[in-house]
Amino acid sequence: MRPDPVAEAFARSEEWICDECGVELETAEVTLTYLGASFPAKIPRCPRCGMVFIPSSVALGKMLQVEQGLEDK
Amino acid sequence: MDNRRMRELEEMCIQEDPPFCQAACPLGMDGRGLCSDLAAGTVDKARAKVEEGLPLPLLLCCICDEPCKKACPKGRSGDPISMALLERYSLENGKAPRKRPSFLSPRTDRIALVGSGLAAMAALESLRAKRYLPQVYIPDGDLAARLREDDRLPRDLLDETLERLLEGLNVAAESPSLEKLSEFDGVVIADGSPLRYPGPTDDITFATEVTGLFSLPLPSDSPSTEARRGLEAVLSLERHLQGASLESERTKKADRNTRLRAPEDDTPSEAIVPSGGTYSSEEATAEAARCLTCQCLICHPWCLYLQEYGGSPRKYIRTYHNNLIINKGNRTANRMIDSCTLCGLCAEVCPTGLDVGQASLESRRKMVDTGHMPPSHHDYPLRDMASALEETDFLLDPTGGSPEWLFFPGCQLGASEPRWVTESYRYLTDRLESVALWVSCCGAPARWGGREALYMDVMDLWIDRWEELGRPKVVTACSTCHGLLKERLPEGTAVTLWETMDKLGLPEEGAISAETVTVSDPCTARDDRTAREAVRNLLRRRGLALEEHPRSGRTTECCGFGGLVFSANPDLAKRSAARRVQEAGHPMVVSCAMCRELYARTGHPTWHILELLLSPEGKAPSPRPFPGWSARRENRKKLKAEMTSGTTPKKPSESLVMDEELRQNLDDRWIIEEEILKVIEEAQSGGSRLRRKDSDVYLAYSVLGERTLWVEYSPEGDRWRIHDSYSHRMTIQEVTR
Ligand code: SF4
Ligand code: SF4
Ligand code: SF4
Ligand SMILES: [Zn+2]
Repeated sequence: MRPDPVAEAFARSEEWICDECGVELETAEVTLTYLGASFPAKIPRCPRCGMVFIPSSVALGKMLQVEQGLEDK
Repeated sequence: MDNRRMRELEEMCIQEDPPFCQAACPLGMDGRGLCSDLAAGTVDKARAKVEEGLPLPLLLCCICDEPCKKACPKGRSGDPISMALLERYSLENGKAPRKRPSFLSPRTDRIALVGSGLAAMAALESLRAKRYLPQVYIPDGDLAARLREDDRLPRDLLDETLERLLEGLNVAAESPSLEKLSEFDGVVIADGSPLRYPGPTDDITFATEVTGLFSLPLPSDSPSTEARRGLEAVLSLERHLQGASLESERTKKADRNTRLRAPEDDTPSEAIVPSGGTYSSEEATAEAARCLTCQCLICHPWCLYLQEYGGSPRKYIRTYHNNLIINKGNRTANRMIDSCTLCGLCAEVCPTGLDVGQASLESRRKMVDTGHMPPSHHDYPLRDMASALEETDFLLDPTGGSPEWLFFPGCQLGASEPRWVTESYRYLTDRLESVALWVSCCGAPARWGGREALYMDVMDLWIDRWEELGRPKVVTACSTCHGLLKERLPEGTAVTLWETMDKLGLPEEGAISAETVTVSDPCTARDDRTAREAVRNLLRRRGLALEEHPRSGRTTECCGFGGLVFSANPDLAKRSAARRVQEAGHPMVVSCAMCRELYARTGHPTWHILELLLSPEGKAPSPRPFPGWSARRENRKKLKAEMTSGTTPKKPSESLVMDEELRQNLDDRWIIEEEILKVIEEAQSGGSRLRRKDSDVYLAYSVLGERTLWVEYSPEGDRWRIHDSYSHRMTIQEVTR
């Protein structure tokens, strides 16, 4: 099985901490929206201040795919 | 684009018109397809085509008068294609198409067929295929009477055919009276009959004044025409029985015309003569291979975009239209519509002048109007336009409001190299009485992106300002601005910098030496012969040896910037530029700042004409590389600052450190260094940021317009080292936990 890029990104979130709050990131449910459509997504974020983490592999992978799909509707 | 307009444009493309042989064949035989099949060795397919195209195929191709030959362009300089021989070869060597047995019972209509000869036989074959069982009257007793005199027809073939045609039918060797015939539901009087309908008959349907009676004219000596008449009579008879219109759709078919132009590069060749009576396999293949596969697609070799999605422009326009009328589901042609550079080259080379760019632009407007224009396709150029109109727009007017001249270099010249604007402005002020300088954008990106209302706003503001200045004469340095301004300003008010310099004299005296240079015209100068000639004059006067790009002047191509293709389909734009520089034999000289940038980006040495005109006497300066989108933005700011306040601003890029590969990547993603710095500054002045454990590497983001831009960075001395930067358009809405 090929590694899931999103899961991989989450693994990478362990490398980061919120600089302001000094705490580790935790996974949270957020809503992503684009062109009037919204999607629930699990994203690592700071449990205190809410600063999120979106790595380039997700922005340029999964998210881009969804964006392009919506643009061609 | 409504249905009518779409059809109008679609109709202009003649790509789907029949080839000459097919247009000339009364039976409409697909000769081009037959030749392609045989040249490719697919004989079974060829046979199927012949059986589909011809009634009594074997018989007909033995005696056909081949009107296709007269029309075939191979005949202009050698022998036309021997279609009948190829048909015969296919029938004798291809596998018979499998016929499905029909379990339907024969039709019960009472039908009569009177006559003999090819028309009667073709009619009979057609009637039988449609399951009619006609009463046959053969006045002279032999259905093939006249054909027997033709010694090209093998006896046994004729006998077999007759036996098959007449099997199970009532045959009478007599000439019935018209009165007798009136008992039938439908009648065809073919040739070879002494009985002839005395009144007028219709040329196309062969209908007479008697309903249901169809009478053919006197026999012709063209077997193909005869066979066609038989088929047409049966078609009429069938429509009569069904109560359908006899005429509908038939007039157009009857004058089977083609608007095709004969292919030009045709090398004369002689027909292959069969060594036996008929072709061997090698002979047939060789003969078929002589076919020119007549079709249009004249535009294809000129335009990479038209090759990209395949097929005829007719198909493109249909696809555009389908994409626009879709109600639900996916608009898969969005990117296709946005990939045309709107350069107008297709219209220039097309025999009917079809401008695909016009259709593409109209479709874009519709996409914008209905909210279906994908925001990402034109995001960067529209942001860049906004910046040129707001952040870096400036007017220098030493006359205090009434200049005689206005120099409008456009938004791209200074972005590429500020010196080109400052020095050409100095050149103009040295030689003309009162000249103002206005650096801004003409709104072209909005127009190309289909945002016509936005474009109109930009242009209206432009005109207002120009009127306030007392309507000065405008000198342009960009052929796009020039073309758009000419649309709005009174005739003769906008002149190019090149014409002006050609009149006023070279900026620098003395020759400049370089190996020969290839002159490449911008696509927006296609219609501007004066400007193109001025460019050449100036370069020659500077002592340069010029060579024309193979596609230049009226047939020049776009660099990939036009129509915003560089943003909507970057890969295609890059390939267009690459093809163009490959075809240039030497370093290129262009008179458009964007051509300069996109050709330089391929790595091909490319000068802007000003660079050669403004350099001191001696050797030509070495061509500059593509500065990158970030540096271009900074150049514009630098130009404005230097010209308006005399200071040189600190460039954002000077605060950033990154390796070359990353810089290149970010430039390809339209990530501007100025924006990167904005993200960092926000994060550093109290914004949120993440930190990589046990290091001083930070990750922060800002929402800039419609995008979220992320930057991974760390301090390095008094600068910032950039490790990565990327963006997305989805917004992070809310926490639902
Ligand atoms: S060259 Fe080929 S396609 Fe053209 S008219 Fe002749 S046979 Fe037909
Ligand atoms: S040149 Fe192109 S657009 Fe024009 S008729 Fe031929 S195929 Fe159609
Ligand atoms: S890019 Fe130019 S030549 Fe090609 S289709 Fe568009 S307007 Fe025509
Ligand atoms: Zn935090």
